[in-house]
Amino acid sequence: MTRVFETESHDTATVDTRANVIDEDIHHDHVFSYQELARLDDALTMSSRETGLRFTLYIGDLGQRTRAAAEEMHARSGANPSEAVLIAVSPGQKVVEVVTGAGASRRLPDRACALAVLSMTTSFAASDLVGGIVNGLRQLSDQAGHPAALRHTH
Amino acid sequence: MNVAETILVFVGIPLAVVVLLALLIFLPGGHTRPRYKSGQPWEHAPIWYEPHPDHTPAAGHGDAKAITSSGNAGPLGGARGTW
Repeated sequence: MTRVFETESHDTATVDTRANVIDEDIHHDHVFSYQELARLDDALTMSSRETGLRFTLYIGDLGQRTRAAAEEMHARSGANPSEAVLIAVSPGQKVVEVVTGAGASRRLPDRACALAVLSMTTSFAASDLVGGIVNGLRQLSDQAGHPAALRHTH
Repeated sequence: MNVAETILVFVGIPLAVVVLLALLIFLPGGHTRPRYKSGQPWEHAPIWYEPHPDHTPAAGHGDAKAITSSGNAGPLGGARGTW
């Protein structure tokens, strides 16, 4: 339980884009291959860029009360948690939690989140963690859409 | 073609090919990553991935630890799933 809250958030930027913030032990703990990390990085960055919401992804244990742990992490997920979306996956417990802030939940209703979670769990049950996460992110960002405020900036 | 040559060609060469293939297959097998299978325990350290800080919404990158739960996210929404 306490271990979850000691986690710092990590940047998924690759070597040739930006200096990385990766702990030594995580560097040696090869959870995903570089291709898989690149897919996760692309999915997170593109969906955040498209929607203007801030998507973060947590993979690890969520303790006994998974929802409370996920909501606690969501509150710490950035400067503006209202516009943040946290996807917390606990493969050991076979649980996935999606937490949306108040601003984000106006564009991502719970029904849309449930649909994305359903597609994620289908992939997870087939042992495809990265594919499920990428597809879930794609569904969420499709649902949230591209706000007009971001349209004229690029 | 005497007996020695015959054995060399019909036994030695296939054996050499088999040994070569076996070496190619099993030698780099020492550092394969164990892949996740549904239902296995998850023994990796918890990781929290953020989007790339450039061109993404105001993030407060790197100071996530300094921001405590004082930020009012309002009523939270979302969904939960198990598999």
